Amino acid sequence: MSLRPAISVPLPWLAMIIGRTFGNRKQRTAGKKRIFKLPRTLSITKEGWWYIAALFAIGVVAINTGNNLLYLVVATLLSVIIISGVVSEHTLRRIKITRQLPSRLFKNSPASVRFEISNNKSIVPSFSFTSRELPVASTSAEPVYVLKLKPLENAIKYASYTFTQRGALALAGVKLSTRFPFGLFVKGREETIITEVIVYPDVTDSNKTAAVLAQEAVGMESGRKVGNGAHLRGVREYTARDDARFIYWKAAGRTSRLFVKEFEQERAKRFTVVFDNFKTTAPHEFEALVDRAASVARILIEKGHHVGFKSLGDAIKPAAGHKQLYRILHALALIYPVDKKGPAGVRVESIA
Amino acid sequence: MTFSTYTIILTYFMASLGIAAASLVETIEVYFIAVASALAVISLILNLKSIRVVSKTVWNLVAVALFALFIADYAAITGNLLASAARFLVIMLALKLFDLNTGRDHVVTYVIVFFQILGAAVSTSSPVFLLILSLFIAGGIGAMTIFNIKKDWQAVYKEPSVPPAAIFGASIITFAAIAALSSVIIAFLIFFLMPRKAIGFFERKTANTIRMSGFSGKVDLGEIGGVKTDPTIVMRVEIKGARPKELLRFRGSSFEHYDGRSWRRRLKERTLSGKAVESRFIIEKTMTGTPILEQSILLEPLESDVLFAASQPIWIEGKFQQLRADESGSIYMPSIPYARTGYKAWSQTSTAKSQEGAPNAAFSDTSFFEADPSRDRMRALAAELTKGMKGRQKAASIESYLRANLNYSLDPQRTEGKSALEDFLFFSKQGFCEHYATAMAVLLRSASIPSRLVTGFIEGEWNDFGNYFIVRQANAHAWVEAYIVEEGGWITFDPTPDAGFAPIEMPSRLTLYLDMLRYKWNRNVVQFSSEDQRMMAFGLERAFREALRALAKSLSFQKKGPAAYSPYLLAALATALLSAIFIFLLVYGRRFTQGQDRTGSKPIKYYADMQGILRKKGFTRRPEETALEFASRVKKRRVTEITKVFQDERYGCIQPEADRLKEVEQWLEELGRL
Repeated sequence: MSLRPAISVPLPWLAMIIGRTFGNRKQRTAGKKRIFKLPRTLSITKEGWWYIAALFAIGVVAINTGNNLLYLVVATLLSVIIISGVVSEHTLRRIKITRQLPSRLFKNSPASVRFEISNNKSIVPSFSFTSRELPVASTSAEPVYVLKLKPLENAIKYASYTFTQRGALALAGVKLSTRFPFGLFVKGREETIITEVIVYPDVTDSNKTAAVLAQEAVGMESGRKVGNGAHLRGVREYTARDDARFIYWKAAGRTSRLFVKEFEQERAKRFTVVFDNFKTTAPHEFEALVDRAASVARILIEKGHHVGFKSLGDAIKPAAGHKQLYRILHALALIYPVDKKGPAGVRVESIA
Repeated sequence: MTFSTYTIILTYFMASLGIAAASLVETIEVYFIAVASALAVISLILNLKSIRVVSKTVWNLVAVALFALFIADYAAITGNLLASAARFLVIMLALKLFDLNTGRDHVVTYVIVFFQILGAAVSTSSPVFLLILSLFIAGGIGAMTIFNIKKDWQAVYKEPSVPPAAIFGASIITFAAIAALSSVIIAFLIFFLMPRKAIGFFERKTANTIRMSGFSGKVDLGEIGGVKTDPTIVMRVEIKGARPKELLRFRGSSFEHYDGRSWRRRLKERTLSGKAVESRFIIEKTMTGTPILEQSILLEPLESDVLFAASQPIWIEGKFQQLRADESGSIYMPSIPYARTGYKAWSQTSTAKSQEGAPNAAFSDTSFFEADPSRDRMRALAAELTKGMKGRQKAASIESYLRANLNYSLDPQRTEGKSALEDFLFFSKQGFCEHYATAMAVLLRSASIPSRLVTGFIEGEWNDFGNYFIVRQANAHAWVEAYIVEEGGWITFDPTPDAGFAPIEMPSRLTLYLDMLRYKWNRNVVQFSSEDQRMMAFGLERAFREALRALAKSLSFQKKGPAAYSPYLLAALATALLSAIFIFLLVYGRRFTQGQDRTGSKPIKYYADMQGILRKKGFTRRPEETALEFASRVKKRRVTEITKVFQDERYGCIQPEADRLKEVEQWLEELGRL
């Protein structure tokens, strides 16, 4: 019989316990500075302060007069506070909330976030509570209000979220809070729902710089050959060679001669959006460049062109379609300025 | 009905409570309440028709004017803060009801009602207060909840949007009712546990005292007759233990100087001291071996400083700063309290009142005979009645003579006698307790036995609901104490015939029950004191200790015979344990039995519902059949779909969307209709 098992058995446990204890501590100090965290938050509303003031005033009168019915009133006021605590606790208890964000999020454009809120209590309904996103930098989120949730009922709610910065972002969770039942206190409970999201740059091109850039790029490559595309190229007289389908009947009516419409040749063009992501003097200038690059890519892809992307550290081969756009937007969402001297800027290169 | 209709109904419910509370304030007149109620009804009609006659500005101006009037009323007219405040609040409330526009107006109404209830709390001692307070709590909880929800709603959806009236449904009403009930229970717990001081600084006095006859320094002969038909309740005396067999006499004052017309008391009073226990006043030394009667007495506000207790009080416990007693054993408070007074008294009932040394000469004084023309007849009568007798026999003989030969009447005729006493003894021979007692005291003194007249109350109606006597003015009584040398003390004699003890009327059981409620409320709530709190703590401790001892005994291995074994206790323990387990499983059982939370066990429920519907239509799932096999046998598309939703949830833990569940509900309805 060796002693080995007797010694080795507790060792992994010990290691685990030590690891958990110290690991957690490290995580905690690195994350939030709160060392001691209560499971519920509580704050007193304006009405609550008035209530407490009245309670104290009547209490003083009761003690000074020795009037037992006033003591009874004071006791009643106190009991209402106790009931308020119990009821608000039950309002927030066993409420499960899940948050579903749209698969693509864009900077500065409101996204509709879907919440599924369910009351897992089997007897007690929950009334009048609000769910608010825990504050995260550069995110503004609308609260979600639930008037009533019956026992074992769930509700679907939508709230508008706006992100003011591109990039990867972690949403920590929501805070459920309620003033129910009496509006004297606000009780809150944090529900952790960690969701990592990628916010794409703004592609709306509000000052039209990207549109100009795209226009120029398309203009460079002006092979305006006749073809069977969608854009009208011109009108000329009908010849026997022409297809009768393209006869311009309106003009025929006015001039009593036959004309045909000529269309441009539809050929996808190939471009590369080049972003020289050198560091700019001001961070917002860099962000404006990111937005411009994203907008140009968006405009070109929406026109049906093949678009590629090139930055100082990254390159995406040209391709068409929305998948390609999101590939580029993803790269732009995570791009960061390169700390080297050079002219930062966005340009479009045409590929023959 | 709309949201606003509901809030109006709620507000009127509260307003009616406010008016009811105001009616409890003792100085508010009935017509005032009637006018306020009429105004409230008119405003209700206007409010339900959404007619507003009072604008905001007008209301504000009127409120300011009313406040000025209230100050004037208090300063110049009544001088009574409570009365003027109560009146001011009633008018404010009636007017506010004409101006219910915003949520704030409703809240102002509730605040006014709250102040009215505070006013009632200060002024009243009626148990109706508890009813009003409880209803106010229920209404207040409902109102606070509704207005809070409205506020939350408007924070999200902006005014003037209001929450759907459906929130006034059963769940909110149930909530308010349960919350109010628990609030009252918790409030009483807190009430009894809240630390008290022995004496309040500014205790409220009442001006409505009951006038008394027979307890001031001087009592005219025939004075008590005036109150012998008055049913006003003077005190309630709770007896610890069984009702005593003998007739109890609650002793008040005693008188020793008689001048032919009236009795006076001039005995020296001493201040009682020697508090062995806090707030306990020792009057006499206890005699060992005699039964002691414990009484808990609640005096109504009386126009007198006398304290009452059965025959011979030994000690008194109560919230008194000081007490006085004279040598006859009468006890007096420092002043008239102008409030209800509660105290406890311990009395000896069966022995002679001890007397150290010879009694005061005042008890043998016969100087009044000097002026009395009928003195010789009286002396002759006394001599005749006591001829050849000794001490106690003499007194008993006089007592039985008076009891047998004179007629009891509350309205004695005046005839040719020169004094009321002469009339009573020799001419009309009619009189009541005071005449009988005076006659006996005078005859005793002329037979040279020291005597004194004692006034007080005999026991009234016995209320077995609360184990107490209801003592009324009509129970006022006078009797005699005589000093019997061979017994070494004072013996009580009562020469009044039985006709003098007939009750005026027997109250019904309901009246007795209501009186018990009123008494308990006053004794246990209105008069609750630090002393009661202490007693309650002791009682709880004792009960706990006894329960522990009983438990130890029943679980002990050294049982002595079957008597030591307590099956009831074990049964009670087992029941408690089982119900605790049951409640625990009820609350937390889901977590253990299902592993995880299945909020949407709805599909499972729906599937069961579907099986029920199909069973009615002749399709029963066989034991060997799987759910899908069963569905294919039924050959209904809906059945298959419901089964799929069920299986996803049951075996795949895929919770269906809310829309999907709605569909399932519809399909179930369709199936039912087929």
